[in-house]
Amino acid sequence: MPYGVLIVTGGMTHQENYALGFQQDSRCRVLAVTDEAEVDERRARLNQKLADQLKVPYVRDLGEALARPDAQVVSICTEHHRQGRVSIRCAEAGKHLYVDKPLAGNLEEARRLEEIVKRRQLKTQMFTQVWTAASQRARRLVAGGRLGDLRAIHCDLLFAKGYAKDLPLAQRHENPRPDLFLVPDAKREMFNIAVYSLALARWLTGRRAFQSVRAVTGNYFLEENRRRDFEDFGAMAVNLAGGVALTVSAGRTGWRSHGAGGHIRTKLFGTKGSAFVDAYAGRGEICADGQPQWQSPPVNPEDPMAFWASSDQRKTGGPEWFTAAAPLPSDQSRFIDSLEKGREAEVTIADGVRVLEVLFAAYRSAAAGRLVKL
Amino acid sequence: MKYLAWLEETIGAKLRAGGIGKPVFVRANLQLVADHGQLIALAASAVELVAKWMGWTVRGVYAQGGPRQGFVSVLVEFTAGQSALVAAELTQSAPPEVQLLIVGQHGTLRFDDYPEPLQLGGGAPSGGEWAARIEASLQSGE
Repeated sequence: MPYGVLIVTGGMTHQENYALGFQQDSRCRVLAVTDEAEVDERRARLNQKLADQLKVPYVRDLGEALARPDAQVVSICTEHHRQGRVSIRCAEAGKHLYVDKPLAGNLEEARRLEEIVKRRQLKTQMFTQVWTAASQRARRLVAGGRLGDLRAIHCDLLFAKGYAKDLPLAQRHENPRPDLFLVPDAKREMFNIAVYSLALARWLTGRRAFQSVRAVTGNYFLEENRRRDFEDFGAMAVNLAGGVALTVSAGRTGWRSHGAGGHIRTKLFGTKGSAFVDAYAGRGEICADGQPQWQSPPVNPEDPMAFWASSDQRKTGGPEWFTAAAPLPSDQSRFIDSLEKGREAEVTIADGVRVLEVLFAAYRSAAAGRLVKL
Repeated sequence: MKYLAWLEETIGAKLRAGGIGKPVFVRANLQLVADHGQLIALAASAVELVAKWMGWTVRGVYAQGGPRQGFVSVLVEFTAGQSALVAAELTQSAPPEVQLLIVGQHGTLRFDDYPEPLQLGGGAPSGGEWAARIEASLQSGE
């Protein structure tokens, strides 16, 4: 009997990936796309679009969809300011929850959700990058003992997307209590990206508690974010229990800031050794005459073979990268694994709440210009 | 330390060429010393180096770790809103290594290096004015 999965919220969200992940898992049957009944016309249209792609109905009333007895799992991917209340409704209906990151747009709802999930003994998972090959490698390095006890983790997660502009450099005046994180043309990038690194650090350290954070936010690249007063970059120094230091850079830095998806790098420093994990270290590279952006030096008639150093031997431009990876099970399938085996997921809603606590503390830190204790 | 002067000039020349636009963030992991006693000076030299690349005044630093922990990590804020995360770490019997990532408004510059001891030369890092500020941050936890 497959798991019946409800998809909450449709196109132009990460649900485009999550829903497919569930649909492609033979242990699941996607039942419908659904959402809060009162969503606006654009959201309803995008919900309908994903439902059409998945070839399932769009049930406009979330309550009606949650009443289906054949629905055991809900995949939730609303805008963050709605996600807490929507997740609470789904948890109160007794469904297992697969939730987008970050968990919610405020801590009150996130903590209430955590309490309901615990009381009702629901299985949960928040989407993160812990199942990627790079994260798994980092975990093996930590677990293998070669590094000794982990003392510091340095994470860079800089997505190469967006049309970068020359925004005037100035100190950003951060809002200590943001309540809107995602609109169709802008996103709070520290909130949406640093979440991965924070969850990774918690996972790598065996759920060590976050103790304090010092953060800086900036608007450097994206006019859309600046217009909305959303940061497009954040840098954090976080202290974890047991004296582990975590530093994070997170942002959206423009399409051409990386040869592939972005800089995704983790440096691990332990009492015995260190390791550097670059998510794009495994990649293909083509160096060939036929590539328009990759140019040979000009011919020197005195030295047509460029034997000698006095000839210009500088190549300009760059070779072509391609990224290809053998498939891994999806994050959604990992959640179904945890349901089948009756065990806790690697990153649960409780983990998501702890991460959210750091993110909100980071905004307070950036606004006040000082360390904030958790 | 000769290597830091070379790094400043080499990377500085690339930044001045303007390809990546104005630098707004620097990540520098410097595993260049084996002596705990040189970590703060190395971190301080790195702050000074990064400030030259940024071309702006440092507004404040927040430091983590310490010589006993084998690393000193510093969050640096600049007056025009840029930032940097600089880490000085012990080599721990491994060869020295450097990972550098500079984010500009129009691109990034990445430099990974495994310098030979002879390339490091020129004695211990000088530390400069930021050593006392880093030490104060480590002691106060602020």
